Amino acid sequence: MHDAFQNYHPLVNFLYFALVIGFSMALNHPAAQGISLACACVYTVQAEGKKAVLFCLKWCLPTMLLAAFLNPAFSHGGVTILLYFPTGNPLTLESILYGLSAGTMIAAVMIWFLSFHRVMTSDKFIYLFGRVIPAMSLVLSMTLRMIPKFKAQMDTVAEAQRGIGRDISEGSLWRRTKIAITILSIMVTWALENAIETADSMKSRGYGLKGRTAFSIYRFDDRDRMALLCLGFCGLYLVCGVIASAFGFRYFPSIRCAVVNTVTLSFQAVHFGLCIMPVVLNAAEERTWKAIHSKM
Amino acid sequence: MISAKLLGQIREENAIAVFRGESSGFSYEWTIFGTELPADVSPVDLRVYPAATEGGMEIRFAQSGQMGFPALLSLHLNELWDAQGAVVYRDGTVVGTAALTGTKNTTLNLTILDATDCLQVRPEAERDSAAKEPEEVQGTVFPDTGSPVVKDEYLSQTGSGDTKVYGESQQPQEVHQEEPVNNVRDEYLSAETSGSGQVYGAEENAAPVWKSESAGKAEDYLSGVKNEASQVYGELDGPVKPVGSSQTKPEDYLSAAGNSTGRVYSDGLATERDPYFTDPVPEGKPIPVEPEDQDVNKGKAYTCRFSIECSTILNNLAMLDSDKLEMVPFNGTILPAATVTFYKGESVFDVLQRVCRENGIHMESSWTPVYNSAYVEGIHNLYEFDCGNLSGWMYRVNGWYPNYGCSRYQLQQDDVVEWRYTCDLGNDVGRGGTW
Repeated sequence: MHDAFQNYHPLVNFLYFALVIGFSMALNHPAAQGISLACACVYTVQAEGKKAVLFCLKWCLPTMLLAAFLNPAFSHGGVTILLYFPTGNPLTLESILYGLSAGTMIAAVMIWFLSFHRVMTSDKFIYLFGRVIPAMSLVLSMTLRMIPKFKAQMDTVAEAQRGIGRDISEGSLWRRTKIAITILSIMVTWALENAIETADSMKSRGYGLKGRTAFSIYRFDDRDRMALLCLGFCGLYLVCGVIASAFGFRYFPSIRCAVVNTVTLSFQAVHFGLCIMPVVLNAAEERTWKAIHSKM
Repeated sequence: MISAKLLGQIREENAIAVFRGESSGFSYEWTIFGTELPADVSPVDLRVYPAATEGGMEIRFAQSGQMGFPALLSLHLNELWDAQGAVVYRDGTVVGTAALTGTKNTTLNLTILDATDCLQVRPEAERDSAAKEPEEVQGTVFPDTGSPVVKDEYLSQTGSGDTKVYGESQQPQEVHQEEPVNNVRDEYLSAETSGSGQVYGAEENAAPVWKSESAGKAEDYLSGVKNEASQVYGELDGPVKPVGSSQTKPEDYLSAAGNSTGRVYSDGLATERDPYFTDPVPEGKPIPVEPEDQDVNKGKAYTCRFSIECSTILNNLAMLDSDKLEMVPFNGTILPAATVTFYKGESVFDVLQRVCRENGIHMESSWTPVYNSAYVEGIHNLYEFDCGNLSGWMYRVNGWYPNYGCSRYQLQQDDVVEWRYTCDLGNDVGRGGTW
C-alpha cells in the first residue's frame, strides 16, 4: 500500500523515528511497550503488507520468546518464587516478566527500524545531514545501506560462482566451506572497493562543497509544519512524563507500577498518539483519495 | 514524644521512620516501620537514657510500659565490644539478644516492644558453651521463635506500599524533632537487579588450609579424604616434603572419614595459599573441606544453630537501594536463630540452601570455580552492593568469619552459623583482622 507518511519532509520522518525508537528503548512500562509494539506492527503491515507479517513472525516473535526464556535462567531476583532450578537458584515470576518486557522492547525496536529503513532512504538522509555533517552523513548512509547491498551482491556472486561449477549447496562440507570462503573473500574485496568507489564518485561530483544542492528537493510546507508541531509537542510532553516518572515501572524485587490516574493516563494516551501517527495519516490520505475518486 | 498523628502518618504511608536522639554522650536511633504499627497507636516517648555500667550498658526508657508496636533501637556506644553478640536482661532475667554492628564503635541493635523501666545489655560470653540456649531468649524484646519456621510477620515485610525514611537533624541532648526530613525515597523508579560482581565478601579470600606439620596422621587427611597425598602442601620455612603416601595407608583415610567429629583444625603454621587462593587459616580454626570430597550421609543427622540477619542495613538505610527498602525486616532478622538439622558432610552452603528453601526465603548463589565454592549473591532479595559498594553477605561460624567460601566449611554438631549482611566489607559485623 502507498505510505503517505513517507512523502513528508525528511525532517518530520527523521524526528518521528528518533522519538518513537527513543521512547521504545527508554520506557519499560508494559503498557507503553505494548502500545509501541502494536503500533509498529500495524504501521509496518499497513505499509508493506504480507512481507511484514512474515518478518514479525519469523524474527520478532522468536526474539521475544528467547528473551523471556533466557532472562530467568540468568536472573533470579524477585519475591514470587515459582520453582527451583537444579542449581538451587529460584525461578521467579518477576524475572520471567522482565524477560518478556525486554523481549517486547527488542521486537518493537526491530520493527520500527524496519520502517525507518524503508522511509528514511539514503537520499533523505544526505539531504538532511549532507550540509551539516557531510562526511559523517555519507559514512552513515553508506553503513546503513551496507547490509542490504552486501546481501544483494552476495546473491549475485553466489549465482555467478554456481555458473562456473562452484555450487555452495552441493558437495561435502569441506568443499562447501571452501566455496563459501571464496565467496566471502570476493565479497570483502568488493565491499572495500565499492566503498572507495562511492567515496571517489561523491568527491568527483563535488559532494560537501559550498553551493551544492541535494539530489532530492523537498519542500517544507504547511502539512510538514503541522506534523512537526505535533511531534514537538508529543516529544516534550513525553519527556516531562518520563521525568515525572509517569511511566515508572519496576520488576525487582517486586512488581510496582506508577499509579493509574488521569495524568499518567494522559501520558500513555499521548504516547499512543505518537506511535499511531503514521497509520492515522495514511488512513486519512486513503479516505481523501477515495472521496476525490468517487466525485469523478 | 512522637504523636499518634505522626505515627499514623508513618503507618499510612507505609514508611520507615528514623528518629535520632542523643543523651549523656550516647547517640541513638529508633527505626520504626509503618508496616508494624497498629491502627490505634498511642503516642510514645522515644527518649532513652543510656548509661555505662560494670561490663555492659543500662538503658532507661522515658516511655513507661508497652510501646504498642515493635521498634528497633540502635544505640551507638563509645567503645568497641569484643563479642559476637549481646544479651538483653530485665531485672536479671534474659529477655532477648541484641545484634552488634559498627566499625569503630559498637552499635547495639535491639528490638523494643516493652519499654518498661530499664534494660541491661551485656556482651555475650564465649559461645562454645551450651549455656546459651535459645529457648530462654523467648520474650518481649526479640521474637526469637526458636523454630526454623519463619513467622509470617517477617515475610510480611515484602508487602506493598510506599516506603519513606524520615530522618532528622541531630538535636543536642535529648530533644526529638518530629519533622520528617530527608526523604530517602518517595518515588520508586526503574529497578535493575545488581547482576554480577561475584567476588566479594567472605568468599573472596579463599584460603589454603592444608598443612603438613602432622603429616601422616589420619585426621589431617580428612579435609581431602579422596585427595592424593601429594596435594597436601608443605610449609614454606621447612623443606617441602610431599606428605608421603607411604606413611598413610588408604585404610587410614577410610577410618578417618568414618569419624564423625573429625574436623581438622589449622595449626596456624601454613604460610602459603592453597589452590583456591585461600590465605592460611588461623590457628585453631577448621581447615576447608572441598565440596567434591564431601560425602553427604543422610543417615547421620546433626543439629546446628542457624540465623540470617541484616541489622547493618537498618543502620545505613540512606545507603540502601530504595527499591529494596520493602525487603528489610523491621528488626533486621530474616531468619531468627533456629536449631536446624543437617546431615553428615554437609557444608554451610548446603544448609543455607535447604533452610532458605524450606522457609520460602529467596536466595541466589553462583558457583565460583576459582574459589571452589558457591558465592551467595543475595538472600531475601537483598543483594550484594544493594547497600553501598562494600555491602554483601558474610557468614560466621562459632564467632569466626572464615576466610574461605561457604561450600568449603563442613559443619559439625552444635555449630552456630550466622549469615550477616555487611555494609563495610565485614568491618561493621565484627569480622576483625585484615584481609
